[in-house]
Amino acid sequence: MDRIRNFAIIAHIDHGKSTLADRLLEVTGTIGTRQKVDQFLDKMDLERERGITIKAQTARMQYRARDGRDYILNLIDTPGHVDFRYEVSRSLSACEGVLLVVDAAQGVEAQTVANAELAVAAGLEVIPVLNKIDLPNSDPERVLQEIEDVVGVPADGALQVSAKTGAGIHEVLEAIVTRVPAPQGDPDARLRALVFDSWFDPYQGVAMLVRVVDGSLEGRERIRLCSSGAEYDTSLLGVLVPEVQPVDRTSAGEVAILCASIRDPRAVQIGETVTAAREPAPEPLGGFQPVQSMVWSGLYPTDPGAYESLRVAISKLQLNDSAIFAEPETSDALGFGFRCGYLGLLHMEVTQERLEREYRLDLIITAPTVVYRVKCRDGSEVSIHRPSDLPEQGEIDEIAEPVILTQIHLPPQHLGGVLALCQARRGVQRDLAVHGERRAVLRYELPLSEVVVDFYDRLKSVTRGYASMDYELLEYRPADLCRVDILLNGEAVDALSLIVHRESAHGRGLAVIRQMKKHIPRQMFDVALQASVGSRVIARVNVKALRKNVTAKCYGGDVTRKRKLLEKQKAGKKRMRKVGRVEIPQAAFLAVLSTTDGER
Amino acid sequence: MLARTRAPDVGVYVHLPFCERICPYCDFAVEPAGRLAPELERRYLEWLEVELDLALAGPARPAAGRVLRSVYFGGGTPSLFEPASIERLLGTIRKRFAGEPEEVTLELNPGTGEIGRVPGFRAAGVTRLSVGVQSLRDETLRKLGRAHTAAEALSGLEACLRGGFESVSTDLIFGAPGQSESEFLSDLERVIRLGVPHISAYALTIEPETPFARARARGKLALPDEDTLLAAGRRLRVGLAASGFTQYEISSFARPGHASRHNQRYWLRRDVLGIGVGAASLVESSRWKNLRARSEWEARLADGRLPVAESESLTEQDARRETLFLGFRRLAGISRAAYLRRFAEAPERRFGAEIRELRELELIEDRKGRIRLTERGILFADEVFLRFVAC
Repeated sequence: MDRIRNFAIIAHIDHGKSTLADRLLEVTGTIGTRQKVDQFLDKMDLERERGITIKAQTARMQYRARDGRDYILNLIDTPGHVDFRYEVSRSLSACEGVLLVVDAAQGVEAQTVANAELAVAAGLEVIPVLNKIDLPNSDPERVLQEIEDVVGVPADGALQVSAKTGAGIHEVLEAIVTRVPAPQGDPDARLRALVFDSWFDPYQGVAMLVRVVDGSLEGRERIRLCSSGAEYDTSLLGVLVPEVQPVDRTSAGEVAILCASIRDPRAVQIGETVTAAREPAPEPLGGFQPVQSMVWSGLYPTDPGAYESLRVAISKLQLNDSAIFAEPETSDALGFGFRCGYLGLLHMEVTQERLEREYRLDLIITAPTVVYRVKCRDGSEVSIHRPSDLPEQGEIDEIAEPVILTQIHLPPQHLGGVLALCQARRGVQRDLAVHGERRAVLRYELPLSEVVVDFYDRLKSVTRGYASMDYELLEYRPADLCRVDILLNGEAVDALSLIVHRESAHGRGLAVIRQMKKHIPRQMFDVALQASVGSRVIARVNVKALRKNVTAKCYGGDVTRKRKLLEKQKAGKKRMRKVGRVEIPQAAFLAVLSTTDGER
Repeated sequence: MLARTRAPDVGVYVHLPFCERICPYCDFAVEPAGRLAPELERRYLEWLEVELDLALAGPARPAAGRVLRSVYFGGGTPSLFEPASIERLLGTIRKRFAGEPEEVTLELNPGTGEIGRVPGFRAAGVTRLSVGVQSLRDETLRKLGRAHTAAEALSGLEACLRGGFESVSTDLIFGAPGQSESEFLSDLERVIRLGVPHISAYALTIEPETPFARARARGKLALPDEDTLLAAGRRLRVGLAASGFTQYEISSFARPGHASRHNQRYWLRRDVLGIGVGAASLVESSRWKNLRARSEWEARLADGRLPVAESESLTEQDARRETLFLGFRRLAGISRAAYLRRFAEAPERRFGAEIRELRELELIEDRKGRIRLTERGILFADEVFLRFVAC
């Protein structure tokens, strides 16, 4: 066990975590440079496209250290974005140390701080690593100072590397061996292994990543899940190198992949303790706190017939991402779907994209909403995470909304724009600290609902991409809120309702219908789009009727070509949802997400 | 019943791809060739003959020896070919089939060079000319990139009408850049007054990757607005009806007896063998389409293989779909009896929901044993067609 080191790499997006991971795998000979697809650990297409790591992946390396001994280094990969804090802390529970990667030019960002706090709170050894020292604008002195001042981690032992060129990589490996503590645990006790990640594999059923805490796990063993008592025969025990390599046995301190022909995705929760059926451990491990969904939205199949496929896809995805909450919901306009809870807006977008890409579903996603607490006149209290559930205005005594404490890191010259943005979003400034000429840290109290709608995009745009942010839930506060309904040809579309501050009801309503108008193709009749509060219409726009749709040109005998053009047109229509007689493309539903401040 | 079933026959389409220059809206298989060098003309003819025999030994074998109903020389600009070449080609084609074609059409540009050949084409066996007038305004012709002037078009058209052909058609374009409604209508009136018995009037379609598409993307193409197009279309139909023309297809108008036999074969799904670059064929349940690049087309033929770019074998369901989405192009619509004879079932058997919906939208109607587009359906014809394609 003293030859095992379990560690993670934590970093702000783009600070080079994945490149560093690749370099470690290469230098230890775990993967050859030729077989390497750029950034090997970012397995999913989606991650490659967005360039961020979303699901934790892991890899085991063999390393002969300068002390002449061979070590097993288990790299537990972690996501970087603020929304995935929960996953980060889950991954960290399988580690004894972390590499805190900071871009030597950009310096400390909001997620550097947030992730480092998690590692410190988990009692892990934190090794600061300055990356990209090969860049001409890198400034190690300043960044080291920032690590001490802003993150609060001693910077004396910081390593300086370039994951791109490979400079300093051996020092990183040595630091992992010498500074990260060996795992603790009792190899002779009864088996206890913590499930810190899992996903659904079409061949193996449920796949679990486990950290063996006590005892040992045999490849032919019958296992038991502590929470349910259910028992299964192990079908695969292996290590990830990074592809799966079967092993006969793994023991305390190790990280392994375990499959046991579990076909029901709901049978395993992340945080589960696995023990041996033969000699079960008397007590399970601590497990994880259940997550709080911060943002909710409706998910509906574009094709109503695909509801069952969506249900199956969501339950498989939940196995991989226990932070997704889902309950069946019915909308008058959209039929059967699910109300889903997410950790944040990016989590919501990623979930939607994974459903569309990995499960080939066409989805309609409704406007994200936070959870409101409503006090009614009759003394009752309800939690609302769907605008159409909001009681009638006359019945409401008070609505309280979640307020977050946001920490924004930015270059001081952009302070003006960011302060204006936060003010426009009903923010209350908490404090402002300036560290040198390059960095200001601004803390604001903001209603979460004002952040879920394009706040991050706006922040990036007013700071030309130089700001980073992180947030935590502060409290619930009463506010003057109301529901805006969107009507299509006079009929309210329940799935499009939104809850907004009364002062911005007109602006938001108008912005939404204007945005929708851009996306709704002209139909064979006029389409009226209205926004209303209660029975009062506050804004209206029209999509004028199409007056013809005919290709007068005749393509001679090329019937195939004409048919293909028609098929393409038809496929486009099929991706739209019919609400009443009106065909609405997915983008029009998303209009509620992209509402800009310009309209306020 | 049997007596009403037509014996299988065939039409032949010959694609002659050369043009003096390429119009900026055209996306057919065309190739700039100036006045067309005799060597190039001879070589292309020879390859056409090779292709004809290869096809008749291959997928077009069922059509060999059938009655030949129509021949259509399309392009490009077929009138760049010498009448002697057309005569030779027609002779070669006729030898492979039985009977006398009822209609031999040749597309012709009303430029001075080509007009001199009109008597030659008549003598070569052409019975119908399709004259690519497009517009009678120099400014518009220039914007459309056409090689002729308005004066040439008018005198050319007159020469064609005097040439002893059974029928003459002209193409008119509406929605050309800068073209007003009144300009289009005055063109139309002049063509009617000249006594042209067949008019194809079609809206300018901006096809992807043409110079017009690029110009539009740069905001450099001023096209008439929707109101102008709609009004022009409406007055076109009213004007032609008043002058004794029947709209027998969405963009085709004819005096009695002048409807194009060949073009109707496409909408009625009757077999047509197409030869030449980019030509499309339907023989029984096979559709295929030739390579568009002449070099590739020739190379295949030199190799003794058919120059087919894509082909498909149609199922009965494909045939039903085509019967409907092509059949609705004809304003007479689809004959229920013919459909029943062909498929042994009513159209509603497979397309009940679609037909019901279109009827509710008042886009189609039942009339004397036929289903056809309504007045409104003509304006929304693509809405009708796309109900019947797969996906």
